[in-house]
Amino acid sequence: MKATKILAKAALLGVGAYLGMFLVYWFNIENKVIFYAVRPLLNKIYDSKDRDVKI
Amino acid sequence: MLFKKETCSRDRFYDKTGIAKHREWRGFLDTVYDYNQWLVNLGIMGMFMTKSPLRIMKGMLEYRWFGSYLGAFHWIDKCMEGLTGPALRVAHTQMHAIMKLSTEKLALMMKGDRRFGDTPDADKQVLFEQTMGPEILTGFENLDPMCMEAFQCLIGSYMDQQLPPVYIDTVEHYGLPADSCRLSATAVGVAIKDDFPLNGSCLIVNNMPCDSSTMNSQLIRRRYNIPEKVATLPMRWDDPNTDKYAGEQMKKIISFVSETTGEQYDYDLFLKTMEKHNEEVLLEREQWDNLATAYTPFGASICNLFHTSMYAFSGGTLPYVTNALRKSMKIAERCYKEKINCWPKARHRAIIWAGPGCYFFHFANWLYNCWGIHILAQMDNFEGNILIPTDNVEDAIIGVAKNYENGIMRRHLTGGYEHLFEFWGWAEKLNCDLVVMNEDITCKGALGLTGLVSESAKEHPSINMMVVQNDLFDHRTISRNDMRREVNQFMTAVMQEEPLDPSLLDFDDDMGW
Repeated sequence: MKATKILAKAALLGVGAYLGMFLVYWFNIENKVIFYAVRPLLNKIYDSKDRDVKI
Repeated sequence: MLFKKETCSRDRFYDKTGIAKHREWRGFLDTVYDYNQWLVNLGIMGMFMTKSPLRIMKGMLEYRWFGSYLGAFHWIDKCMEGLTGPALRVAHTQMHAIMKLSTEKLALMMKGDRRFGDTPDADKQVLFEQTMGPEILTGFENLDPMCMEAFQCLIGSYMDQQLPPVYIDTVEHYGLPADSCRLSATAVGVAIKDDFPLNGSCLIVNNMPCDSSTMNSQLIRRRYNIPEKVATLPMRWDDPNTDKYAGEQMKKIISFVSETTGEQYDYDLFLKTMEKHNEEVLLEREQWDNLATAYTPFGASICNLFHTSMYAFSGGTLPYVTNALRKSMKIAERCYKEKINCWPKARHRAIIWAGPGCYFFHFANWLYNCWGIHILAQMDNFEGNILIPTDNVEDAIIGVAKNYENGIMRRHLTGGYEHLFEFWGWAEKLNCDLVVMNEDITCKGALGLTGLVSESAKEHPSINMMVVQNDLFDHRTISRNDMRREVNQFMTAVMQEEPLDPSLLDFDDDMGW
């Protein structure tokens, strides 16, 4: 009985996560975050790096 | 909007950046399938991160080109645009293999990067220049062949059109003319900017695909403080008298790596791996037969990349690449048996030839969605597919050299002008009515022949040919939209056709990845 309950909860969690991730997928959230927030920040880091620029 | 069928494709994107407001609706089953494949890709990324979390994070913060790989999911979406049914399934099957091999190699690269501290992994890697596959190194059981520039240049530019100009500007600042090959210029720019990882026990540079690469090798090797070997393969590879010389070059690579690393070359392992290489080639040739049919699921952008990735990274060493080929062929056989039209919007069957605009990697998808042009294959598909004799070592070594001489960007652009003209034969064999001829304005090899190529079109009246200019890696000279406009002009003025989706004709995505 206990095992069934745990399995049911795990299945519910799995379905919830699957549907939740679908929202991330559908609204293209990961790409929006990366393009508008993460990449500009990374560019600042790259620009501030001291590189040994030479031919 | 959530489940509404798109009627105007461009409404789905933000202007200029090209970032999608939401993903593509392909019908219920195909959208759910695409979502599941997105989850698989997420899993591959997750696996990648676990391979060396700290070094991968350091690499992300260190290298600009690595940052461009954050655009991977966006890039995958672009390559899948408009695909449904079996075509979508084949594309995802091949894309998973590409994701797997590229993340594996990237993780290895970071693990062996001395910039983040000394590591024994660095010495297990043998660096070699791009357009040379790993075949000749497969006899070294304990060494990892590591392609040097592909990640910083080619794949980087596919993911992010803003990346190469940073490196191109760096090298032009040192006086390189702006009409030089963009591939070589970018590679040198990476070196000058000190943006190559510092891995590898030794380095093999080469003269491939052309003399421009010879120039970039000289500058790149200065950045690596490791033993190096120059491998030169004959340009006139058609001449059988050059085979012996090519074979000797291969043997010199083996003895150089052996002496430098202390590793013994296992010729049995080499021959066994070449058998697997041949298996890959034979499966690809089956694919070519399928391409000629009206029911092929192959086409658009991914098949071409799958082949170039296989050439550059597998060479018989990656079983999941062979599996992806088998799985794709299984889908293709089912389509042929059940007579499934996998490209319902197609009005033309076409091949793309010569050097592409890498910053418009999904050009083939755009051609399909806007004008109904089904791109069956691209020039690279027919390069590096040589069957290597495996009954004796001597012939196998010459076979490997032959495979390189026929490799990516090499077979059709060196070795005699007649090879550039092989596209007519392929267009006929694949029942094409259209050839899209790329005109890479900085490729000296192909550019000089554009006039002759155009002339030759007169002898093939049943196949139309359009010429589309690009600047290989630099979207600032000829933008994606400039390329679209050239196609639009040809399709309206010469073919006198209406677009399938007018919203795709003219739009600005210059600020995007």
